[in-house]
Amino acid sequence: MKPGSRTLEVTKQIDVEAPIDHVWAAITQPSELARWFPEAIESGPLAPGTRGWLTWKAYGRFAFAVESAEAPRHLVWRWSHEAGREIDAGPTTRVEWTLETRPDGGTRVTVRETGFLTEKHLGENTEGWDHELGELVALLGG
Amino acid sequence: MVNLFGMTTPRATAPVDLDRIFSAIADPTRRAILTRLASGSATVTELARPFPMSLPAVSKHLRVLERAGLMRRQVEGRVHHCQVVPEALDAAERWLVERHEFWNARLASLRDHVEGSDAAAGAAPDPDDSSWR
Repeated sequence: MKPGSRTLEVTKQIDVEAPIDHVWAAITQPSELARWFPEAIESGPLAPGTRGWLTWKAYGRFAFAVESAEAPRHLVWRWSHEAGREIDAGPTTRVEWTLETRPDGGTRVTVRETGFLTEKHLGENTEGWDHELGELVALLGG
Repeated sequence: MVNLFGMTTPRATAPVDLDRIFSAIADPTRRAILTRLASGSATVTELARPFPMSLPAVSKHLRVLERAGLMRRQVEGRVHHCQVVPEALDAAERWLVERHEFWNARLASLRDHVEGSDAAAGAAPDPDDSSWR
């Protein structure tokens, strides 16, 4: 991605009172993930190349694939946002987790989801995504 | 159709293809065309005028917008009148808002999980905590 370019993205941050290794386990171990993320998970421990499915009763079963995992700080996966669709069968979004130890011993968790586009578009300079979308919606009287 | 974030696509209207909508508005030329159309319908020739590109190139962009459901055209003889379909963008915006809500909720669950299980994993169980089963 070009420096300075912005893509359509959602970034969220939260501070938790737990050591970084504990949070890392919570986002990479299937048994832990099932306690707070999906209702069911079909996957081995999240490592580069891991593929699996996340299931929510209300929404369905979603394919994901891990791109990189550098314990205990950085995890990236891609997932499909259409229930039942194989990971390679359509567009995916990229979910990037960053963990940082805080001075108080807790952990800062940042999750950033980008994409919403096909690969072809990721190379384009799609500046000001949310901004542009918001402006267009306002302009069109949405 | 229900996606991960619980957004339902009303059956009564044309299906909303968010992939296509987001792809369509990823392009600055197409955003400029939509912006122009926001001030009223226009013919293909009028839409093409401000852009340093051929009419066929502009037509290609218009087809992408049409396929995404963002634009429709009415044909009168040889003249094509283009109009924006704002509802398609509403769907995209609603989806983004839901995505924000989704991550807010999931991160709160993560915090509850790691902070709760951290306490539970302590070597000495808290004798005052009788709520734990």
